[in-house]
Amino acid sequence: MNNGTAPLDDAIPQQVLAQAASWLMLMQEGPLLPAQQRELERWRRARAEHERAWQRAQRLLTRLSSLPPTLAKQTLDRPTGRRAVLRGLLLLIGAAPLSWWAWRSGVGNDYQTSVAERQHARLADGTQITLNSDSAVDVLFNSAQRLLHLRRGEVYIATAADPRPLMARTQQGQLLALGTRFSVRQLADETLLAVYEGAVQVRPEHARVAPGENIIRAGQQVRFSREHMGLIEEARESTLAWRNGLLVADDMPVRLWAHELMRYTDQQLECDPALGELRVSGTFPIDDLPLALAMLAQTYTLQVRHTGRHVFISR
Amino acid sequence: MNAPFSPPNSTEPCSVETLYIENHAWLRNWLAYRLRSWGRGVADDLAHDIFLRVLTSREGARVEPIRQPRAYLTRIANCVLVSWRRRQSLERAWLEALQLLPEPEHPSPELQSVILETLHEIDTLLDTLRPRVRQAFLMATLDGMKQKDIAVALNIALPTVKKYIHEAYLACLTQMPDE
Repeated sequence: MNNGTAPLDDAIPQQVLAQAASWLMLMQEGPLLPAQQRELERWRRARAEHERAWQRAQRLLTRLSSLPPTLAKQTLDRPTGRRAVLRGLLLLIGAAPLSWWAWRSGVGNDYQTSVAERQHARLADGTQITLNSDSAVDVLFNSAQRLLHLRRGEVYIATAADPRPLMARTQQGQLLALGTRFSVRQLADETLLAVYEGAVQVRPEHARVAPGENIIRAGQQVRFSREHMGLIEEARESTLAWRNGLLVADDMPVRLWAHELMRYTDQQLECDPALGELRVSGTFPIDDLPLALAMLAQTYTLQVRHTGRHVFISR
Repeated sequence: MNAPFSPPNSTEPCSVETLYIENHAWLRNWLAYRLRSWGRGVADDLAHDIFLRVLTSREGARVEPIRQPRAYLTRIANCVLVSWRRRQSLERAWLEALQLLPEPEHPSPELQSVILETLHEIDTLLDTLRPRVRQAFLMATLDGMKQKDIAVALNIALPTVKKYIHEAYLACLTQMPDE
């Protein structure tokens, strides 16, 4: 491998990286002289791994120069250690576990995702929203109120403190957030609201609901149509596992399992009626249908038959 | 719930599924104990993170069967836990630094997220360095200080400053992936 054509997954020798580090230090102290510049060019061309090392070096320089120096210095220079870390959680606004997603901001004020896509965004007021697969939300903020219009799909909302009220709107009615974390899902003829922190006031389009009866509190969920509020049920945090790319089933009818997974794929999942009331449990990946199906089949000894885009699950 | 363990040399793709089903509850408890002051939700989120890592790390072509599932999970869980804690302290330091700036000078929320990602990346690269080395490196790269000024500020010899900064650059370059 001395001909400079080493495969890319080979580690770059430490000695080469050390040379690149020396060049970086030289550049740090001031602009390179023309002779040094030529020497660097020569060094880069000498071997493929030199150039690879230099690509990394340039990427590092780009990253460092993209940072606001003072803020970055204060952040990176923090005392590290257990005590400092422990105090940290108090200041966090619930964003931490999402870190493996790139944060993306939509164009303008509207956000949408296609099938099998998710999107996380931080709005101008600090409110955080996460869109599930095949969803759309319009964000309408003005000086008097903050309105999130769920046009389709499902959105998870963690509100930021702000003097303006935060409302969410669906086809069936309006929701007023009372300092809170909640998710809203648009179903065929209903809205499903689940509250995880604080409380949300529900106002179905045409229903008369006695004051006080339309407040959904943390740990509760409800379905409502334009005319009716359903019964209040228990909301589970595991329903939000889609934010992490997972479906957590806890004694879930297999038909519902298939229905849930279909939100993340263009394939049609069908269960053999003979499966009856079979219930399943476990954690399944929503972005890897073959694996999810394999896990289901393995655990419950089922057969999975593919015909084009149709998947049939049976014993 | 009684999926059999795969035999050690099996090439069947069932080891990941078995791992999930048999160890999910155990892992959640393991994490909940270590994160007991932070609530169950955090432990659940991290458990998801860990299984996600197991999934992605086993997508490659050379997949070996998992012989000791709990030891394997504990190893990944520890990495996830350490990096999560580092991230927590980074975000806290960021918010504190931000508070020192007047509001109009704050970067936009979108830009802040981008900056935080970059900071997290750099922070991870610098993680193994001794505090002094890290300090000298940050003075050179972020404060734009000359090496001789760093020597004065830290009260160390110039060759030591050079050694420190070189060590830090080398650590970064070593850990960075090729793009």
